[in-house]
Parts: sequence; C-alpha cells; structure tokens
Amino acid sequence: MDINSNKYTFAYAVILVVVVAVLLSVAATLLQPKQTENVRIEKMQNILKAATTGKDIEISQDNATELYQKYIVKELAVDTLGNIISNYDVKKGAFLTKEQIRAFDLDPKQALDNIKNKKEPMFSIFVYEDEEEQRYVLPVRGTGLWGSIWGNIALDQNLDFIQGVTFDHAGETPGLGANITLPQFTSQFIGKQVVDDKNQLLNFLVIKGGIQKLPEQDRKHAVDALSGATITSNGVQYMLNDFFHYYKNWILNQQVQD
Amino acid sequence: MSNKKMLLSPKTKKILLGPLSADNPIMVQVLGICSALAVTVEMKPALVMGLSVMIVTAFSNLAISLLRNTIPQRIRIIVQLVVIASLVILVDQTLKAFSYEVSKQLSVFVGLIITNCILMGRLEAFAMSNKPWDSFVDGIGNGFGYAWILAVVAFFRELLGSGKLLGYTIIPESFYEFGYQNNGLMILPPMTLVMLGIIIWINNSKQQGKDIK
Repeated sequence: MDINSNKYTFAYAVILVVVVAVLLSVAATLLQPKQTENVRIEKMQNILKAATTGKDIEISQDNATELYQKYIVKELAVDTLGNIISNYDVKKGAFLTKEQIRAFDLDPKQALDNIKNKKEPMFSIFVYEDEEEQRYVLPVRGTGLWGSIWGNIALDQNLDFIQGVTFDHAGETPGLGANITLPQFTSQFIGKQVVDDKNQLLNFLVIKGGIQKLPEQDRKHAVDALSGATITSNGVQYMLNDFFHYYKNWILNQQVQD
Repeated sequence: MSNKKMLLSPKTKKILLGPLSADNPIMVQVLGICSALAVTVEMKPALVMGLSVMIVTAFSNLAISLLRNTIPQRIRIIVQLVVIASLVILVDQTLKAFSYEVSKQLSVFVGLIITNCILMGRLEAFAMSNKPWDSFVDGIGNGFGYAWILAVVAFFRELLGSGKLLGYTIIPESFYEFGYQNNGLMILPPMTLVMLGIIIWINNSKQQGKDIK
C-alpha cells in the first residue's frame, strides 16, 4: 500500500485522532474523582489557613480534612438581607435548617453571576471554633489585572476586626501582582477594622504609597498596596468592599444581637 | 538475554550517555530554556518537571518509532504533535490527581512541555529513523540530560535563594545571626541564565580539553 496516498493519509489521521480521543477521555474520567477531591481539600486548607492565622496549627494537604472537621463547626449560607438560609453542622453532619444547601459547595463566582443577572445570590460563612475563641471566615472573589482573584477573610467573634486573610489568583504577574498571596502582604490585614464603634461598615482601603499618608483614624482600615501592582491592589480593595457590602446585613444583624 | 546484550551495546550506551554531557540538549543545543527558567526556583518542581519531560520524551520517541514506517510523510509533524500532546495531557492529569500542589506550582509549564523543542527535535531527528528500543533509550537520555541540568540549577537557586533544599531548611539559624542573608536575586529568573551560562562554560572547557587529547 502506498502510505503517501491521500486516502491512506486521511484514514491514518482519522484513526489516530479517534484512538487518542478515547485514550484521553478514559484517563480524564478515571482521574476526575481524585482531582475534584484535591480541589475540595485545597478549599478547606485555605479556609483553615485564614481562620488559624497567628495560631500554631500546621495545615497540610494530608490533615486538612481532619482539621476542618475539628475546627469548623458550622457552615452558613446567607443572602444579602442577612437572613440565614441554611445552617450545616459539620460535626454532626446534619442541617439545622430546612434548606439543605451546604455553604461549602457554594461558589462566590456563582453569587457574583447571580447579582449580574439580578437573581438573589447566596454567600457562605464558615464558623471556626477552638478552645479560646470563635472566628468567622468569609470567602471573597474579585478581579485583578489578568484574571480572577479570590480569598478568605477571617473575622473575630464580634465581627469587628480582621484576624487573617488568604488570597489567591488565576494569573497575576509573578513577582508583582502574584505577591498578594505572600505573608508580606496578607499579614498587614491582621487587626484591621471592618465595622466602626457606631456599627457602621468602614470603607476598606488598599493605599498606594503607604498608609502613613492617611489621617490616623483611617489607618485602622487601610493597608499598603503592592508597588508595581496597582490594578491588582485596587482589585483587592474593590473585592473586599464589595463583599463586605454583601455580608453587611448579616454582620450588622450579628452585632445587634451581641 | 538479547535485551541485556542491547543494553550493553556500545551504540546504545552512546545514545543513552551522549545527551548527558557531550550532546546535552540544554548545555550544547541550548533547547528548552524557557521552562528551565520558570521551574527551577525550588528543587521539587524542578525534579518533577525533569521526570515529566523524561517520561514524555521516552514514550513519545517509542510511540513514533513504532509507527515510523506507517506515518504518511505529509502529516508526520502533526502525528508527532498529537503523540506528544496526548502524553503531556496524560502527565498533567496524573499530576493533578496525585500531586496537586506540585501541579499548581508547575501550572502552565507542564502544558508547555508540548512546545519544548527537545521533544520535536528528538522525534524528527531520531525516532523517525531508528528502532524502538534505541529511540526509547534516546528519549530517556535526552530527558535525563534536561532533568539533571534543571536539578543542578534548582539546587543552587533554592540553597542560596531560600536557604533550603526540597523545602527543608539547610542553612542553620546561627548563620543568619552572624549576618548571612539569602540572596533574593537567586529567586528571580535572570539568575537561571547566569547559572546556565556558568554550566555551559564549565562543560565547554571540559569538552575542549577532550578534543586536544
């Protein structure tokens, strides 16, 4: 047979593509459950990392599930009015509300899409509890320079101060915008104020040129921007303010109850 | 028996060991520099990347060599690309499933193995005209030639840049108390070029020495 004839070339290409397609789909299907599991573990790791900032707890891929069960007591889903839609007790593995939506499975991206489409969004809150205190972890999501940025904000039990944050990004510039994940940036957020003494939500600032140029009282709710990464830094600021706004009613409700 | 005989044959040995120094893809042919810059900040991703490339070169060489007499001339480059691309996707998916953190660090660079010139070069220059076993060995040799350079570069970058090796702290705390500091420049990509330059320099002077003899 002439292997350089048109017929042969076409047949060869078709068979090759089909064989490769079958091979790859089989591999993808077989590996899918394990990959999804990894993504879930990473989510748990990030929630725990934000919640345990300043505590001596080592979180790794291997112990994340175990620590999540130990320290995260409740997963709440709230709407923008501050109503708790679902409440999942992690230890008992049972819902305390009629609505059976696990906040863990909610994606802030979905919430943002719903807002865009004028549908009611739902936001998740993770309640962390150890021997000393409670903390609340709020997932956030926004836009950086090249793509999405997201993170987790841990608030203290009175919902006044930030206790820790984690950020991550899809593809910010390495060495510039990508540095939002580093402790040099994230550690600045610890102790910053979210709600003032009169129970008003504060406008959070990520300031280029440093917070020392701000008046004293504003420095409590501001951090330094990353130099060379203005748009990513602004993205972080908008992301925080947007999501604090979405969580506002729930935060203020909680504070009235206190 | 015949397998062992082939293993020891001087020609196969040359195919295997040539790419480690005299015919090294990075040092001599200066291929695959892009990924070498990106993944050598730490040892672990560098080793995984090296291993991934080795697997892909070996098996794509083997596959193409087995098919070499059936591949139509006009679509041979496409066939080579399809073979490389599917192997790379397999490696990528496997890493995502079993070594998630490393796969996050390597991010797009596993995907970019597809465009690594070493692969296309070996397939076109070697596997298309040689027997499967020789091609497989050639793939291992070239992959390893790439991997060991990455490992050496990553060794120095992690040690001098972060004071660690494979994530374990190597430089003792007391050094830092005496004023020793990690070299931040080592973490940045340009230092890889300097390091590669030094490695190429050492290799070239060694090779020249051989020529004179």
